[in-house]
Amino acid sequence: MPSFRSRILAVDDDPLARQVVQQFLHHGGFDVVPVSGVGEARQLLERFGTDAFDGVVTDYRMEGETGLDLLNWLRQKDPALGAILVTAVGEKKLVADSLRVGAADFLDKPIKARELVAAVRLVVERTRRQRQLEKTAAEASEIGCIQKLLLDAYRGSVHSEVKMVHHPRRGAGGDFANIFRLNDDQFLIVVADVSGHDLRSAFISAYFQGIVHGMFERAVPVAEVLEFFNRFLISKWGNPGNVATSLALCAVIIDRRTSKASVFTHGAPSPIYINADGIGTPLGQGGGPPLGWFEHLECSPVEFDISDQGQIVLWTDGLQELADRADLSPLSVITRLASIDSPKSEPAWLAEATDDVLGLIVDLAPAGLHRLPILSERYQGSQAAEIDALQQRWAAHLNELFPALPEAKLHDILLCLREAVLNGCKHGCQLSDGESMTLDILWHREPSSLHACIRDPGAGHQFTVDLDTDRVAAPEPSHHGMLLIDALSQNRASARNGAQIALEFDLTSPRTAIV
Amino acid sequence: MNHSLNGSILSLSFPGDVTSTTVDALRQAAFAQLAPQQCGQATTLVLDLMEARFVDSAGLNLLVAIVRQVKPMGMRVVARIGNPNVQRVFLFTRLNRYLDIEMIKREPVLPQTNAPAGA
Repeated sequence: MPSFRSRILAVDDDPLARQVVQQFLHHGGFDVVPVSGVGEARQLLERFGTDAFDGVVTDYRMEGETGLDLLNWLRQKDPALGAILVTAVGEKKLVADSLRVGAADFLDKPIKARELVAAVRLVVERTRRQRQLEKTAAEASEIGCIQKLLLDAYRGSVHSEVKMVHHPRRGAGGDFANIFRLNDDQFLIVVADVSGHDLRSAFISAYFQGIVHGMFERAVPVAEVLEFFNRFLISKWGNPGNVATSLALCAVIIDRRTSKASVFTHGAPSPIYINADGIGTPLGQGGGPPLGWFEHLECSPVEFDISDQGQIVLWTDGLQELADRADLSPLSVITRLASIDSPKSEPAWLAEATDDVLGLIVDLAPAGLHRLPILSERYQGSQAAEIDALQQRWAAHLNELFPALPEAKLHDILLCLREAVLNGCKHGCQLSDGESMTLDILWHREPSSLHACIRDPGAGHQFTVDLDTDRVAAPEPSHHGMLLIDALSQNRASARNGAQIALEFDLTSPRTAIV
Repeated sequence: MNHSLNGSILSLSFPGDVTSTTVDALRQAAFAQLAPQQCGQATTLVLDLMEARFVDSAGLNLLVAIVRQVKPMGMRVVARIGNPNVQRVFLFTRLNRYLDIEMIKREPVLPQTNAPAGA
C-alpha cells in the first residue's frame, strides 16, 4: 500500500462501472476522483493541473470522445502522467495500434480488483519516476543558466566585448567560460572542460570557479591557482592509479597596462589571436596535459603582444570535435552558432554533437565584435597541388555562413582566394613542404563584407597591374592572377612587396546577410 | 579533350574547368591539334568552353597561348561559353579583343515527372 494516498482520475460514462472502479481503488488505498466523460476529465485536469493526479484510469468506448482521445490529449499536456485504458474484448489490439506513444497500460473487461490495483500501482510509480526525471532535467537547465549568468556577471567589468556560444549536451555540463577581474589592469579569461558532461561535471566546474574566484580575491597568482587545483583533483577526487576527474583548460591573462597577454594551455585547444589586420596566430601551441593527470604541473605561459587590441578566440574540445564532424573550422562554427536567434536557425550538424560545445570570442577593442572570424589556416607550399580541395573547403564555409550568397559573388571570392593562395604557395613558399603561408578570413558585420588576408614568407614581387593597358596582349603569366583579384574584389591592399595581400568583398548586395 | 575539323572550322572542346590543376593536360591536348599541319584549311578555331564554370589565371594563360599560336596562321578564334562568370572574367581581362565570345544560354532542363503528357 502506498505510504500516502495517491489520487487517481477515473473516467467512465457508465455510472455502475465507474462506481466499481472507484470502490476497487479506494480499497486498494487510492483516492479516486470519478468523472463521466472525456470533456469533464479534460476540464478537471485543466482546472487543477495534471500534477494534482498520479494516474488516470479511463474506459475506451464512451459516448462522444473515446478514452484514446483523452490519452492523446494527455500525451501533449503531460507525458509523465501514466494512464490505464480499459478495453472490451477485441478492442485492445485496435487501440494499441493507434496509440502512438505509450505511457499507457491496458486492462481487459471485466475488471478484477486485484489486477486493477496492481496495474494502478505500477502507473503511479511510473508517473513519479517520470516527474522526478523532468525535475532533474529542469534543475540541470537551471545550472546551465547559472553558468551563463556567471559569465555575464563578470564580463561587464573588463571593458571588452564578449560573445559566447554554449550548447551543453544536457541542461548543464562540464564546459564553462568565465572572466575574472584580477586587478585594475588585468583580467583572466578561462575556457575549460571538466571530463564528462553531466551534473557531476557541472558541480566540479562550479566548484573550480568558486575556488578560483576566492583565490584571486586574495591575489594568488594564476599559476599557483592552477597548481593548487591540479593537486586538489589528484588528492581529493582521484583514486590511486586512476584519473577520476580531469580539467582541460585554457586561461589567458590580459594585461592592459603592458599590452601583453599570457596563455596557459592545459589539454585544451590552443586559442587564436586575431590582430587588427585580421591575421590569426595560434597561441600557446603544445601546452601541458589537463589538470588532474600528473602531480607535477608545468605552468609556463606563452606571452604575446595585444597592443593592437585584436580578438582572442577560445573553444573546448567538444566544439573542435563538432567542427571536425561538420568539416568546418572551429572559428566558423563559433560564428555560425553565434548567429542562431531561434531553434529553427540551428544548423543540422549541431544535433550531431557528442560533447558539450563551448566557444568564446573576446574582443579587446572597446567597441568590438564588429567582425567575426571564419577561417584561419596555414598551408604548406606543396599544397598548391591541393588547390581544388582547398577551394571546395572555402566554398563549404561560405555556403554554410552565407547560404543566400549569389553564385557570381561566390565565384569571385573563390577565384580571388585561389589566385592569392596559389601565388603564396608558388612565389612565397616555392612549392616547398618546408615553407608555409596563411589565409585568414573574417566577416565584417556593418556593412556586411568579407575580409581575407593572405600572407607568405617570401620577399614578394612588384605587381603593377593596370587594367587600361593591354595585359592580355603581352601577358606576364603570373600577373593574370593579380589582374583577376583587382577586378573581382572591392579592395586590395598589399604589404611587404606583395607577400601580404588583404582583400575585401562587399556582401551588401541583396540577401547576402549571414544565415 | 575532344576535337573536330569540319571544313574550315576546327573545334576544341574543353571537358570542364580550365584551372591550374587541369591546364597542363589541356595544354598538351590542345597544342597537339594546333600544329599548322593539323589545322589544314581551317580558318576558324572554336574553343568550346560550355562545360567550364571556372577559369583561373593559369587557364587564361593557356587560352592566350592558344590565341597567340593560331593568330599568325590567320585564324579567327571563337570562345563558346555557357557560364556568365566565365564570360565576365573574359571581358574584364580584355580577352574579348583577341577572340570572339559566343555566350550560349543553356536551356533549363525540366525535372522528370511521372505526370502523363498533357496533364
